[in-house]
Amino acid sequence: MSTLTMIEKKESTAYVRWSRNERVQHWSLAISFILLVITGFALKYPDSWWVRPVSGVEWLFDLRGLVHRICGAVFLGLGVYHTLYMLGTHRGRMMISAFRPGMKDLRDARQNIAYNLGMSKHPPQFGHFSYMEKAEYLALIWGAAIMGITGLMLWFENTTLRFFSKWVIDLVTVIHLYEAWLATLAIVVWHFYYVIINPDIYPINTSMITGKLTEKEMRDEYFLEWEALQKRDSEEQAAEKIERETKKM
Amino acid sequence: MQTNRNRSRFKQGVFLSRVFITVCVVLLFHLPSLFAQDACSECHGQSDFTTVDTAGNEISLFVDAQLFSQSIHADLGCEGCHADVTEIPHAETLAKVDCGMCHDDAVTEYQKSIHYHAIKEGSPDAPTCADCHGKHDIMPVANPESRVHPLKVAATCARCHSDPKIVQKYDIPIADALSAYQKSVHGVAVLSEKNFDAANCNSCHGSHDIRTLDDPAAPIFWKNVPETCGQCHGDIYEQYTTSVHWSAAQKGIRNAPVCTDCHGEHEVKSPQDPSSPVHPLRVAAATCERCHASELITGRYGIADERIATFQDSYHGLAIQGGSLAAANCASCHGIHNILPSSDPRSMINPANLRKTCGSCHPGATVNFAKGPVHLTTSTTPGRVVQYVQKFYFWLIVITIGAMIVHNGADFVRRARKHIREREEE
Repeated sequence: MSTLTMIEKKESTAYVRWSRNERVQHWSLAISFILLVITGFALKYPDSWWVRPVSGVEWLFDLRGLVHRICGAVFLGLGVYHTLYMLGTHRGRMMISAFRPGMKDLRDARQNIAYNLGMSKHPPQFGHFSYMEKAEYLALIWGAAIMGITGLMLWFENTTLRFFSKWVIDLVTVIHLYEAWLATLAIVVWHFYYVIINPDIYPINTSMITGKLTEKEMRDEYFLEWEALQKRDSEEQAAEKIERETKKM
Repeated sequence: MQTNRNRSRFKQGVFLSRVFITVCVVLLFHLPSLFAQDACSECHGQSDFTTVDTAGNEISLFVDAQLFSQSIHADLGCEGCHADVTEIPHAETLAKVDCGMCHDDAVTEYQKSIHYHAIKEGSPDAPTCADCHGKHDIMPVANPESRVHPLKVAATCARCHSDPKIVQKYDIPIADALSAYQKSVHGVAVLSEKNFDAANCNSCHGSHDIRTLDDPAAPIFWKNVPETCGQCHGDIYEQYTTSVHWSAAQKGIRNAPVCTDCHGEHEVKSPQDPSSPVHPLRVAAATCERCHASELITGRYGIADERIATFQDSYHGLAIQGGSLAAANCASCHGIHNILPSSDPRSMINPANLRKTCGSCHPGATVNFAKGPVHLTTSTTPGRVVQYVQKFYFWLIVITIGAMIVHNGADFVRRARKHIREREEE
């Protein structure tokens, strides 16, 4: 039907949501992102309480820069790999269509807010990706592009200055800083809410570790996909039954 | 017979006494320096030989002959200085020794000094010759035992200048120059490394004609400082005298820095010393900032402000704060002693020289380095553009993250209430 289902196989009570490849992508991104945040803000805020004790130690400063560039390279490499993965694999292309935002997402958002404020009796029902996940993914792509371009321009500042005036470096520096704040705060306020702070999830959403969702999680969070899967299963069963009966005949 | 014998013995005795007296007289008058000392030491050689001064204090009159014999004045003998002693025992009070009898140049110089003026004004503490040079134990200045040898002169001055009572009594502005000097690059060179070419007290303050800071003839008078330091640091003096700082100082602008305003005085450190105010990691915040971020000074002379703040905010400034010695500090671009305004063709930051200046760290620096402001202030168009972007992002973050907090906050409250309700039902 119109609801896209991405779940290929159902293991008794568990639904495989993330492949091993995707989990490795996620954690590579997570680690490089966190290290980028720490080593980046350590440069910008040398007087903050957590930088002060190591501020002014040259080898630590140089190490900070090295780690930032290594993680930047990992982040960019991951971006390239992820692009190829999404465009070049069947699963990736299915995910692209699952991420595509539409009018339903706006309706879902309105209904979710209304439901949370007690102005609607029913929560919205989501397919493979909720509007929260779609928004985060699109924001991540946008942020990664901005951070990647500005980061490279600052990394290779002499090349940048071959094509642009010095003030462009200043502009790029400001964008890199503010986009970093936006990304960090978004991860903390948005992503950490859905995978950690959410009272129904706390202490942590394990699906990015195990790759799996339970029947209950599947039904609660992605009802439309769960429903479609149920339907597919019963259709398959019905088809098998018909097949068996046809053979018998 | 008996009488004859007695007579002859008497004559013998008379003769011997005459010989003795003659010898004594000859010795007394012809070899006075050698033997008069012996005569003096009959009393002054006794270590317990004392007298009582007018205040009733017991004072020693002992003179260590051994020390005197080693002193540079040994050949002069006692009466070389105590010329008013013509007979022994001598008068109870003798005239004060006048060093000017021989050292008239030094005394003439001394009479221009603050020390002499203080004595004229009745100070009982101000030093005369003996207070610095010693009395009977005066050594040549080149002898390390001398109180005014580079190794010892600081301690000699410090007997008064680091004495809290004297410092307080005479309101001496620098309370303990000695301990500052001992830690300074000069003090370490002289005292630990035994480099006697390095500066000691006298190198900067003079010796006999020591004058106060406000005396235009003093080598430490602010306008004379570059020349004083230039005695040793000649190359730097040459560079400094081309700088904008010196041209301003020459006009009488006291806010313009001379050597000591950036480097310190008694405590002057090597620029490589991390505690130096001109160390690459500290120069912006500890030295240049004092004037170039001062509203008073930038306002008074119309110097560009925000130079320090914009630097500290730039990558160079942040890297310096982080501890990077590779990043540019103020001096990397502006020069050290030869600082000139960008309008001067000799200036390192003159647009024509920027490619070379920037190129010393950024190989192959292009003309783009010379375009647009280096210190990005909002008084320039690029500065304003960057400021608009900053404002845009600030509000974008406030609105986006604010919306996220509201959106998730509502979700959290609903779910938390559901959990509480379920727990109550259990």
